[in-house]
Amino acid sequence: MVGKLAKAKTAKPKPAAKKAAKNAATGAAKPAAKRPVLRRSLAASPGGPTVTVVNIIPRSLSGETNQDSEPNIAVNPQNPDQIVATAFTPDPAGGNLAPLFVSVDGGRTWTLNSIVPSSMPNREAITGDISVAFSPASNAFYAGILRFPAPQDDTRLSILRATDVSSSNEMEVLSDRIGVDQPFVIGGVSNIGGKDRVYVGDNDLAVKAPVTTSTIDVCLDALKAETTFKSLRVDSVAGTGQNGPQIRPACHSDGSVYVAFYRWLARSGSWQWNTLTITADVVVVRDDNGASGATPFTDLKDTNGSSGRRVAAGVQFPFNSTGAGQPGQQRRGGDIAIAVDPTNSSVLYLAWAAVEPATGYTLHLRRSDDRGVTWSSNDLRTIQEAINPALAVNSAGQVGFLYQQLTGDGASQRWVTHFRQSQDATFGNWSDIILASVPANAPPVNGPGGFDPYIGDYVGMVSVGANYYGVFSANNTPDPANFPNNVTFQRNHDFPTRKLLDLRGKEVAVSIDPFFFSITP
Amino acid sequence: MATRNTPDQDARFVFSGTVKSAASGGGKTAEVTVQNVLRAPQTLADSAGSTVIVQLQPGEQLAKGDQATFYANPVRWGELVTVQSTGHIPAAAPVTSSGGRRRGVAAPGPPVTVKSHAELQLEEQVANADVVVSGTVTAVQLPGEGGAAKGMRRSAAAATPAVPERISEHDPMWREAVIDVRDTHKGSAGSKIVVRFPKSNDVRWRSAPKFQTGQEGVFLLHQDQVAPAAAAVPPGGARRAAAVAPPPPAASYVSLSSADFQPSEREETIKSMIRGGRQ
Repeated sequence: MVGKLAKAKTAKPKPAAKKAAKNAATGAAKPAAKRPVLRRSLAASPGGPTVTVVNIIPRSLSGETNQDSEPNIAVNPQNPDQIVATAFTPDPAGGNLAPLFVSVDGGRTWTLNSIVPSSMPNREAITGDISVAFSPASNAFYAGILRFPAPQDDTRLSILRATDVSSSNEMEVLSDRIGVDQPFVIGGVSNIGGKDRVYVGDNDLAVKAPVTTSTIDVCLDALKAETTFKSLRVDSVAGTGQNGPQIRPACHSDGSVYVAFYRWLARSGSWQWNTLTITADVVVVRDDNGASGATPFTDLKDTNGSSGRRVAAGVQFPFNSTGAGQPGQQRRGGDIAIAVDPTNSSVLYLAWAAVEPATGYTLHLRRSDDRGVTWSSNDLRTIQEAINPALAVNSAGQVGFLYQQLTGDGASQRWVTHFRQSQDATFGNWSDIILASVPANAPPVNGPGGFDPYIGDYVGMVSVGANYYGVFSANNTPDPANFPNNVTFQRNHDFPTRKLLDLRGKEVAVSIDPFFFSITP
Repeated sequence: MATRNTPDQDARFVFSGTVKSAASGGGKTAEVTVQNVLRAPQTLADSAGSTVIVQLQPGEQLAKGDQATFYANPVRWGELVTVQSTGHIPAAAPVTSSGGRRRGVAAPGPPVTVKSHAELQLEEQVANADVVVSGTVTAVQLPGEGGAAKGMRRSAAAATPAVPERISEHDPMWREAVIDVRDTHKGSAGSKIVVRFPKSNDVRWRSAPKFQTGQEGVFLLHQDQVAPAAAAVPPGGARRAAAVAPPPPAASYVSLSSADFQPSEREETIKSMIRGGRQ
């Protein structure tokens, strides 16, 4: 059954020239700039959504040129003014704790707070992959990170907890082990009977074949002083002995937990020479009791009786070792996102990437109304040349769909970040809010300070109540025309000249920054 | 009035400044105008003239107008930078016309060694290196491709990198740099040494040098650790089996930090550090 959807109107961007003039009058920062004033842009349609976009690099770091890619976000449902964002951002002072971006005013302003235990040699505190989530009920904050230091030939997973993200207290380590890739906790925290249940999706490369690597590290009472995480293998079907790094959980308050992943079937080409292609099934598994039973994640069966429903079979996509030389400088390796309707745990949405003959690297969005057993026969949305899908369903049952699409050719290529929302129960009418449209060719991913992934292997989005909150990374040129729904920069900038400025007013090179957004339908 | 604490000499941000305001009630923070930066990470190197928020230690007191040398570590970055004080040394008060000193501060603190964060990093790197040599990269090769050292390097097309059983985007894609040694400044090295380094451009290896043939300079090298460092392995952790290609036996050293390579212009500075016995 299709969920009840509230009527919402499509956001219409303001004319760029009018916007630029307005920004030019108000956006030029000076070295002694006062606290930035949030300018919320109301869409042109009366009663349309309210869109907020904020560059979250603090003013005191106006001189930074770090590649702050692969962002993630958590919003405290108990206090939506409290928001945490993450990216590949090092501690600016060379300490031994990596930072979080913290807002306590709903995303208007941000502070960098270094409380994450992870540091490389030579005074560089940064995490590898990081994702984050708040408990829906306890105010506890959780993070899954690839931690440093790590063995030279291995990765190291830590699952962390904080009770106050604004304090200077180092996050507690709940679990710490090696051999794991891409821990993913966003969407993976529920609270049942007063206990936080934490589900961290990860690709456990330490597990021995023929067991496949798709894993959920789960703790059914993560608020306890002494926690225990179990590593549950969620794919019962042997493939190539390895699945993809995207293991995405989605929890519901009734205890239902879904997990989506790629089951790798075959690979061809060369990893070393950046020609590797993966053939895979897109699979969803489900546990109706929060993985508390003896046979976790076996409640959803495929047509052949095996656990896990294949939503798409035999899809193909590249698995790049680098984005250098690739379209938009971004490595590709598959993309998956899943979200469950908070008003109805039977309703879920799934997005995945596959290369299609006509549309290239393409995102597909589908829906299930029966707990993953059957899926819409056609895509709700098909987005060509797009990556980094994120899904969230709000309290009205409306699905939000975030992605980054590559447009144009050659030097005019741009990464365009879209937020789409279903407007009715037919799913034939979607809003389209462009959050950013920025150059894709600068800075160079293989230039000084550059690395893979260019803008990130994922983004983040959640819903709290009716609102959507998200974060994406993009070229930070302060050009109002790049942000059709307006933007606020905390860091010093000059919109008329489209330049970033340091604390002394000297020009700063363009880099990749994280951008927060919120949308009130 | 400023009270004197014993500052942590290893504090990352040392500066002289004047207290603009101290928080009323409790006095746990003070706003301080930075006058001279004495030691700072790069991000604060140009902070003279700006205001920072200083979180005071228990018992540490400051009043508006106090001048001092502050020893602190940055903790938060927002509109302003917030630093945690590890102590401060009051500045010598100017002598008044009557011969006394204002505010009753008796004497200046000990002289502060002015060092940049980069200098401290380099000192650490020199101290921690097993071998420091000057030389030139003569070849970059796949692991175990020993012919390169004899000038018999195979072409890239002919080379076949070991294929990992399992693939991760964080795979280091190890390579070896062959270095012709011109001069050995620390430790013992032959005329050629082989250094393992990750070719991967993944974020995990963002700080590692990507050596190129013809690259000339000073190499600060560490013995290769085929087994992971004990400190880096979590309790109960088991090493992943064959997740990536096995490390090459030929390389003697490994390079994972950008500071492992320094341009030739820094050779004398590095030699001076070694002579100074700081290592």
